[in-house]
Amino acid sequence: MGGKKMMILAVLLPTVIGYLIVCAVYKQSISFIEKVALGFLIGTSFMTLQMFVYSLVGIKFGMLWISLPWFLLLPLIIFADRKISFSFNGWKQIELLLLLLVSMKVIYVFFEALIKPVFGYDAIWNFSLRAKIFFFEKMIPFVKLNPYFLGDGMKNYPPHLPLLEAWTYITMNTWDDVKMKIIFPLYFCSLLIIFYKALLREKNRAHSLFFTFLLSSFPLLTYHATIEYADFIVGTYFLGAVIYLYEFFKEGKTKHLFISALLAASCGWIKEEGLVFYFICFFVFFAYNKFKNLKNLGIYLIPFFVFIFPWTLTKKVLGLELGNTHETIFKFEKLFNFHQEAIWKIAYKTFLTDNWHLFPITMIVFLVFYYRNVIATKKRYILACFVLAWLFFIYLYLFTYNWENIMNDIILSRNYLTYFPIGLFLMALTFSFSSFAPKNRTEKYAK
Amino acid sequence: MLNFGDEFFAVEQMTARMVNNINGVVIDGLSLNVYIYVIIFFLVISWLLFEFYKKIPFDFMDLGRKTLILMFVFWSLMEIKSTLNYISYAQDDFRLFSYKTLDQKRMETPTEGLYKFAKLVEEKTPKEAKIKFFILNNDDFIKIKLKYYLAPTHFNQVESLEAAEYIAGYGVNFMPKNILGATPYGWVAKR
Repeated sequence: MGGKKMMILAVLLPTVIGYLIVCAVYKQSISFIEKVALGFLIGTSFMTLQMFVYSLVGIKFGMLWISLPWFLLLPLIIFADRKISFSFNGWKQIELLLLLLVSMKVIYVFFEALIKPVFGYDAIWNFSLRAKIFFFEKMIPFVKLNPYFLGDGMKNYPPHLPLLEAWTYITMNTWDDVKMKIIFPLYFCSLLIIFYKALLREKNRAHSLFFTFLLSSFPLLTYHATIEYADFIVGTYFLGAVIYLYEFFKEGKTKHLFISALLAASCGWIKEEGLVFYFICFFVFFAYNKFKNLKNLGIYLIPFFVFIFPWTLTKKVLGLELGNTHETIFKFEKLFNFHQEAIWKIAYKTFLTDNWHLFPITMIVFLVFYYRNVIATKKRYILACFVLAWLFFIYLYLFTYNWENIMNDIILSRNYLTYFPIGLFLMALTFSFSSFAPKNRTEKYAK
Repeated sequence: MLNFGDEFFAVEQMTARMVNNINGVVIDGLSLNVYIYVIIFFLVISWLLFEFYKKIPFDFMDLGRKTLILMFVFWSLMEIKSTLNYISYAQDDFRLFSYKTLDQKRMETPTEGLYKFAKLVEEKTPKEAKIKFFILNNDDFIKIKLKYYLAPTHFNQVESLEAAEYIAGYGVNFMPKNILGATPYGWVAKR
């Protein structure tokens, strides 16, 4: 088969795996396209976890060996969508225009990602160097004396992305770091679809499309969707985790909780700070649930032991620390020094650059006017996730050695990628263009 | 006014720093955002004065709704400017990367001549050879990129000259006499 076909197969297999899992959870209660988007997120997490386990037990990577066990999921096909239909009948012109604008952005992202190879510093050091080594070694080298130990590069980063990149190389049977990049636009599409579909459950189509357009308009998000960094990917999972947690709070159905837990735990499997995002979701869930429902508590805890614990334990065994290899955040004396120098820089980069168009100032205005509306409803849990993520980063910037990274323009804006979509989601969910209260919408409409 | 237009429509060059910051339009040393904030502020104040003049009762939520709608309008307008940037990036990248092989594409990425140099190292040294690299400004990024290109066959980069079997220089202003091969940016030699 040609390279392009194998590239598509590389993303199709994890998507089908995830899709079948999501179908088993949701049956017909969410739309096909939302299941596919969720399926890509969940499927890729499970597949890379499988590759990690293979490496631990000494099984070499191979397309067949990785694909084969997933055929056990085939019986789940009984839950798959029988009929997939789509029509633009009844769409207003403004809705078509918004869809066109979002589609144009998606096309641009695919074009930019698939025309050039990997070249960014962190992209190579944190992910792609390791991916190349995993591909040629056919496993993660766990032996410390091996020159390829953990794939070299940023060894203490969770290996989800390098493994996913390696998986595409394995499927294509070549180190093609152009075609491999298809995974990034697909994460971008998943982000947009999950965001749009979640909004559509409560808002009308034009409103949902408009805010999806605003999400797709974030310049830094667009740029990151074309390169090989993990920030917006972890942001996609975090947004998904918050959305389905909110669905759980609304409906009380454990299927939402299960999906939220899977996505939240996947955050810790993608980036180190993802661990914090998992705990934020868990904390918010716990604030709601406390010890009232132990089964639900278990549902939220189990994915932690599946996705986060094995890698954390492996790192401990291998003597790797949390944080940067040179400077750990756990040097106690470096944890509580206030660095006011960073405040102006943070304000400048947040409000006077074009990373987010007008999102930061709009979010502030939104909270001034709509705070009470948010607090009075279950949307307060979304706000809690957003604020906790913000507080976590502000703490890192102002009280740890990371203030130097702020001053050197190394971090900040790309950290926003991880939680700004949640802020926009909250805004989209609460705001109404009309001064009249909208009617309640049904789940059926959202299909 | 001409200056305003020129600065507004100037394309922000795509750089590696964009990964953490996109500056956006800067007009007369001020970010476009500042101009937009001022315009929105005055529009909101004008609206309030108009309502006061018309004796329309003040509605806090309605003010918020209208302010946000204004912000969304300007936000959407900013996307027009971004789209012009994207068109320019797409044109540049199409010119640079389309209809090229994978090797040629890698040659076109930033750090000029590095991929060609890596290929030379691969060609002139045996697998697993111990190589000491001399890199322009001892640049970390170049070292990392070299590792990426040379992995896994030529991964044995050594720090000391004594331990090396081969030496290779990229972007440095010296060259030994008995070189095995050279590109415009680098050379490989037996130690």
